[in-house]
Amino acid sequence: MNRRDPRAERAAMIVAVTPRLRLDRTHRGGARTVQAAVTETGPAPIRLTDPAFLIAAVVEAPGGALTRHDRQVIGAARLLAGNAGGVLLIAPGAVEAAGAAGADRFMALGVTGYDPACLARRVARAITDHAPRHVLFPETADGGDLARRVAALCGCDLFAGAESLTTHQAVRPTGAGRQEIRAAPPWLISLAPDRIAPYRGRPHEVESLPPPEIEPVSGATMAAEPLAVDAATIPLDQAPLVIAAGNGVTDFAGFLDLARALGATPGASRVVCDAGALPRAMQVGASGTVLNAECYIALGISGAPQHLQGIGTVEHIVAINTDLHAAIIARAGLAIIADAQAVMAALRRML
Amino acid sequence: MNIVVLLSAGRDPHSGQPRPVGVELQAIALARSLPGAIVTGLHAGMTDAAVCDAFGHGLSDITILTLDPGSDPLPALIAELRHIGPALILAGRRGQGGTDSGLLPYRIAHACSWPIVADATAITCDGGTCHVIQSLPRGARRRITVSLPAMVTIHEAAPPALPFAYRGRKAGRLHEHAGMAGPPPDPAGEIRPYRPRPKLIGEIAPAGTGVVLSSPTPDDAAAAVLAYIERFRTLS
Repeated sequence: MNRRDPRAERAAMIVAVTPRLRLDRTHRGGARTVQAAVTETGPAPIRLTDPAFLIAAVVEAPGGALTRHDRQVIGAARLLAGNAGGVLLIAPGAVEAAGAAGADRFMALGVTGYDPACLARRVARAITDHAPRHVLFPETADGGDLARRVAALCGCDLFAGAESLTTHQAVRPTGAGRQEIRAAPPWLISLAPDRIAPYRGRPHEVESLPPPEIEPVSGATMAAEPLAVDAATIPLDQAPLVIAAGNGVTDFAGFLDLARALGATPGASRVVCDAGALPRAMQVGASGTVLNAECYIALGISGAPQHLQGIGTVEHIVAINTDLHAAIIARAGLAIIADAQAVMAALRRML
Repeated sequence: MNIVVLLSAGRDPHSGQPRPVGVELQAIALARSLPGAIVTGLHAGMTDAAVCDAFGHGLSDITILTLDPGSDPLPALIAELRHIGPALILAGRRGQGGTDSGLLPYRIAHACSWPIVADATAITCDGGTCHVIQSLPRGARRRITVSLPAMVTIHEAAPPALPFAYRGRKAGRLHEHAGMAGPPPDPAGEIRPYRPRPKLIGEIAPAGTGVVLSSPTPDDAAAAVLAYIERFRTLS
């Protein structure tokens, strides 16, 4: 009498192993069906050969990477373009992953360094040449400046800081924030941050367009240079990198030294401020400052709900704590179960 | 050095009462701090209590170019600025009273072919050039050098405005004359009371998806922290 071999039966049912295990249970115990391994690739990109109209999105893309706000602007352009229209992405230089963000056409203007007057002339020429139905800008410091320069060059009004945008209506605040203007989307629109979701659909195939030929004009801007800013003087709610001390820290002079060496703005938890070890102005959390930082380093902080409210929008969090079950460990991108005081000393030695 | 500060008819966001715009008052304080500065205010439109309140914050002369409500102030302002010939023109980053788009300084600068620098927090002038410290997001700063005359818009991070002085408010000299009104701009659309709309929530990785290092040596932990920060710095 033959005994069953379940392992061999299961092995005979295997159709494919990659990218996931697939079993053919209909041929129980039968011969293994030979099939070509299905190589799963991403969805095919959408290709627009002849768009009915264009929507231009003028982004900043510092260092070639699209920012969160840039993606939202492209998302809004995609929204206005629908299926028939194409999105023309205009950036000062090359941009990575423009197709995944929703762009069909891409134009690099070839402007390096800070020269907003030159950039504005090139954008104005590009949108005059290609005649997009709408032109969208991010309402950031430099993006808003560029949008207004382009509007002045084109002799056109700017719908500044739109908070809601659909194909038939745009809304922006006015009258000292007491009123809002509702109108059909005009030609030039700048988009307030966090109002329109970025594009999440199938990626688009990007076709590069040549930048407009424009004769160089000596601008009145003679020089522009970034200034080194002492991180300790940046207001806590604007700081990009914050390091905060909690109950697990005892050497506060060393903590402030470490903050200086890291180029981070120092913060503190409520316990530390209550004890008077650090000033109340440094308190992070619901009753202190709500951060807008990109990276947050929590030293010896357990993460009370009120503290987590203060770091609600921070993307990158490093937590150093002795308690594995502290709330901040679950929230952190990098959690280290160790004594904060010892890690602080090691960090100061390494910097 | 002649400095003109552009004033707008500000409104209190809560009560709607006339109130000068904060950044324009900061511009007055910044202009007065420059050596040898002769500072005057300029407004085009109706005579407004908000504009006259700027007297109390350190301005002694204001010119108002009277225009019909709703007309474009650009031609009147350009004609007056060409007449005055200032070295420096300051404005708030967003004026009020019109459509609050912050576009007017750019239109003036473009019409007069002046350079424009946005979001200034500090200004120094020497000879024919002007050094402006520009405020950027996340507390960053940039120094920009431009030739004079130049248009500079002032950011909220500039030094605070001078406190209100009732004597100054009473002693200020108001010069009113009719301005050259431009054609009224196209109707902007329907005006309604402001309705706050929800913002998108940031994309945060779900809890419990991070890397956990259990009891590493202090040096390993420090190296991991530094590597993580380096990665964040290259990402942003």
